[in-house]
Amino acid sequence: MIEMLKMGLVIICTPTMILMLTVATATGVLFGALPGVSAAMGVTLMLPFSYSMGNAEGVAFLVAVYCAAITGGGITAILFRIPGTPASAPTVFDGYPMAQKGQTGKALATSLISSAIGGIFSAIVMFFLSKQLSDIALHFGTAELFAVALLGLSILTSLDSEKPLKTFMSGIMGLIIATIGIDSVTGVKRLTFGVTSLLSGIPMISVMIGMFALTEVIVRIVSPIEMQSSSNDGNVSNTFLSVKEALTLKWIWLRQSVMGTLIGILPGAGASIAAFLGYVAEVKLSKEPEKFGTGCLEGIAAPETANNAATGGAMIPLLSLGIPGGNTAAIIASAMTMKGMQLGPLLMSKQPDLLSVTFLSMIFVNIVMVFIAIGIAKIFSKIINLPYCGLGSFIIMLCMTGSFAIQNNVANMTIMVIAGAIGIIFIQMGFSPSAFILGLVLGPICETNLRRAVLIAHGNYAKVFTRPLTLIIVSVCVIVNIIPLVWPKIKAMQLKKNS
Amino acid sequence: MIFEFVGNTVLLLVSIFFFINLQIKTPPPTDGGMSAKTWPQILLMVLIVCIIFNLIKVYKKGKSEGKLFFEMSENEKKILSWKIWAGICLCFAYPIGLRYIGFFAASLIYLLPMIYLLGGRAKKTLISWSLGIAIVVYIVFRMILGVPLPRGTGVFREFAIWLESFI
Repeated sequence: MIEMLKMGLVIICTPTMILMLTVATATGVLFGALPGVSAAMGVTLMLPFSYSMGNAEGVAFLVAVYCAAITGGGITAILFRIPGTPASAPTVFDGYPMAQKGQTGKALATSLISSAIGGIFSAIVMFFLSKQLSDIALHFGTAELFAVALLGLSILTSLDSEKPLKTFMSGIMGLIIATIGIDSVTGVKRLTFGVTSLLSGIPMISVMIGMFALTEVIVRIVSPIEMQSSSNDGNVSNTFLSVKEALTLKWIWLRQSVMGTLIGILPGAGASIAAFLGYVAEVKLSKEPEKFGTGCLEGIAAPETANNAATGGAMIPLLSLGIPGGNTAAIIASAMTMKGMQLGPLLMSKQPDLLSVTFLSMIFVNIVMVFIAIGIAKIFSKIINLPYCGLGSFIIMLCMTGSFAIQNNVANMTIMVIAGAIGIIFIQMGFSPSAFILGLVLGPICETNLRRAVLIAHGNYAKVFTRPLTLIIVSVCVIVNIIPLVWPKIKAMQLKKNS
Repeated sequence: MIFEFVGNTVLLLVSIFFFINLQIKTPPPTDGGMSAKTWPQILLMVLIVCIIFNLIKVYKKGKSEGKLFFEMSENEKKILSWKIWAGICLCFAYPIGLRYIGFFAASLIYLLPMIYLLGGRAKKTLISWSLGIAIVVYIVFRMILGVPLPRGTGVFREFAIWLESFI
């Protein structure tokens, strides 16, 4: 291991490499911050630049862009309520309210530090425990993946415990919208009504941008506000996270680093799933769940730690088994293969320098991106001080063009606007856009894996739900939902008995 | 109360319509697995039941609070304001305009009334912000990221191609 690390350090610790990684980090953060430009698109756009680099250098460069892009999404999520990447959508729930209260610097600092911690943790796990964790991941079949998605859906009502029925309904609506398009198992068109642009389904990012950012700006037409500048003349870095506040987040960082890494390992479950599951898990575990959604540090720390931890997690099956866990991992896999990397069990023995470089690149990026992202955030945060007529219009243009950029398709802009209109009505009727988005994100994983599991079991549902891991996870779902309902009644009965 | 009632009723009708559409258009399974319509139909059935519960809840709550059926809260009245729906209509018109008159012209025509709706009043503010935002977004998406923004048709297309020749 030490020898492997030395090999990687020799490659990384040159002025050229450090400069390239810094540029890759800055580019990744910028790509992540811009709506409609995802981490996958960022890696794809940077791929041609890696052709002229050496094998190890090219791999380090692309991994840096990937890790930094996931972090960058949090910047616009906090400042403008636009999730730059789907993985940053939960950051909006508490990040934007914090920014509205004039605590932009604190929100950004929490987001960046949490991202760094999650990323570094998962990079270390990736380097030392790839083989062992990959063996565990191989036991996760379609039934288990369905159970994980069900776990996320089962704690949906925690997103807004004051209106459980409406939150539940919002989640169900999100699940229904996720079924629009061509069915992934049978290829049948569902709920497309002859509209060609709906065949590929409803793009998640367009809906997120519409429901969060566009809704917010349009509502401001009749309820104008001025974003509060930070207490120190709008200087982002002056309202940093204090040591005391950081210590209150230590358990969240640990839990979500582990959870994000484990979720990232699962094929098909990427940073987006990790971020949402991380957020709802912390809401469920918190002693004060009502403060989530109002602008609390925990609501930012949880998803940002989880989504960056998932980046390292996604590299585990990729490097040790050659199986990419998601779209971005697949693009990185193709880039790595082009660079002569032999992904799979022999990587550690045949090309230890490339594995070491990947690890060190992730560590470097997660440290450096905190500083670079603060710089980019400072530039973005100057924009908050602009008059809202200009700022709001700029946000809408970013939303519109970002939605277009997803698939170079004008139809996505229309979907974004429809989502925005629905978002306005949702809020007035007391429905939860967050639960809707959670349903939209988890829906495809839930349905596809359940149907595959049933297909594999030849229609035998009992066989699906009695697999050991599935049974454990489904039992956890039931316990997590039943106990909060039953426990107070048991306590009340005991008190009555005692009195 | 009417806002919630109408909203839930529309949602109920849409859910029923989706349910029937799935029933008609989706073939049954041939392989012993779940058909393509099973999962969405289960979800729609659950949603329809929840909507009915919600409607009853809204009615009971309104009755207990002594609200009139046609009564609307201040927030609900604000949401029905013509300005909001003018903003939404502008947002719908923008993608249509993009196809025919290209990014720049459509953005300028779109931004002027949008900035006005958001509170900008002076002519200088309207024009400078519209131009500035359109230029910044063009530079970021077209020049830096290489996203092929719509060029439009006719003279607008010629203008867009001339502009892109500088990249």
